[in-house]
Amino acid sequence: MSLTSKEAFAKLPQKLHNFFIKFPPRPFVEYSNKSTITTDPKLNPFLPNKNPESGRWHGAKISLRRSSDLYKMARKFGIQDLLPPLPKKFYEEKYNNKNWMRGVLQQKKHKWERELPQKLEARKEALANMDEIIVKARPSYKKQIEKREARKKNWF
Amino acid sequence: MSWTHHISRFAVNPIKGKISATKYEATMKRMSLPFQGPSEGLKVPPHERRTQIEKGIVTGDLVYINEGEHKGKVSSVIRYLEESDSYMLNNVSEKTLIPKHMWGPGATSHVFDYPIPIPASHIKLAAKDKDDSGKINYVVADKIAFKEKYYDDRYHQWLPRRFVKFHESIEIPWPEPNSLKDDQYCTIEPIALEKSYELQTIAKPPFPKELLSEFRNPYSHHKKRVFTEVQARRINAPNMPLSMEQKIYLAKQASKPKKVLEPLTEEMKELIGSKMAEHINKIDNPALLGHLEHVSKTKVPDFEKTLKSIEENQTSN
Repeated sequence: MSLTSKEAFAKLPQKLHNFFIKFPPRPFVEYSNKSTITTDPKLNPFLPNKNPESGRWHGAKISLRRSSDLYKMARKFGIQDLLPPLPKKFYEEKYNNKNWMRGVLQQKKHKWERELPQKLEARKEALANMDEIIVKARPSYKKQIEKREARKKNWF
Repeated sequence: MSWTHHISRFAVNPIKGKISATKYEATMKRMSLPFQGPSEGLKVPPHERRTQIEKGIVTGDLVYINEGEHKGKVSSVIRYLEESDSYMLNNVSEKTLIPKHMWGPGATSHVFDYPIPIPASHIKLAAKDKDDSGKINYVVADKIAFKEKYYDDRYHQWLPRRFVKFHESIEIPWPEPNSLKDDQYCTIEPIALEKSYELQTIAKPPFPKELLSEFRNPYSHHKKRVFTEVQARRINAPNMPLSMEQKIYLAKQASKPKKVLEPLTEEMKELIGSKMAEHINKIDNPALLGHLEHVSKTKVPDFEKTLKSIEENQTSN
């Protein structure tokens, strides 16, 4: 069963219909992306705007909570793009554009914890090259190395 | 702190135990005059005090003194002192000096036989019993046992029956209480207790309706339904004059064109409908479709208002 546009429009919730009567859908009327002055014909009802006469700011005509309700309801019917631009992000867009805290992405840890892998690596290396390091500090150690080599047991 | 009863945090309070009871008693004894006798009070803290009946020995009871200077005496109780848990007994007294203003009726001397308080631990309940032959026997109860309660007409209250503990066939009845004699000005008891009127039902008013006007003032100003001019002026705030700025603002608002709401155009309806149809036709989940159906049916009171205002505009044009 496929709906025609007229049948579909009959299903438009009263809340959205009421909103569209007051603020017509987007391609027919343009809404500014940013806060403007209250006399601007492009005034966005979801944003606070400035009164040029008094110099005071008017709060958003439709609050964040109400605008979120409208957006979520419109999204269920696939007409969220017809609303004026919102100052808030929702769902995937909100998640994808989230400014994650550094600590959430990567835990800082203690300094010894951070430096542990390098430390273990350095230790491993030092153990492998132990003879050379000792010879460098004490040249007479060479004889001891030679003795050890001579004493080494072979199968043959 | 109350105005009638004041206890300083820093003052000596033997009940709270900041100072030992014996030390306090010694100071009290040193400071009291000879006729005042030894201090009796403050031996028993208030929450540990018991009434005579709870103790089992009341005024008028026979008691046997089993310890102290007066050991072996059998006497009757005059008074129980709750504060010191001690009894004043008949004929167990000491000669003390008493100032004239404290003399009893018929006293002729400063020297007076004043009963000594005997601690409760030195006393045992005693009772007299007469044989068939007329011989009087005394019974002394080491301990007292209480049993079921009965209403005592003489005391006008419920009392437990008193028995000698471990010999519970021996009951010691409560003594005759000190009866008060009626004065010439007293109302006789049956007259004082008589009930001349009793409410029988709430369905009928207790007195005829005509009497109400005599009880209550029908012309009371609290019952008037109409305010006087003065009262009305007091209740209603006056109309304040507008300032210049307010007048300018109101004039500006009036000159602005009124915002007129218009219904959605066919093009807008078409756009919205097509977008919705495209979205809904993609949905397969019947539960989600049901949910959308439900959401689309929810009603908003504000929507009716806007429709009404649109209608009004159209009719006015």
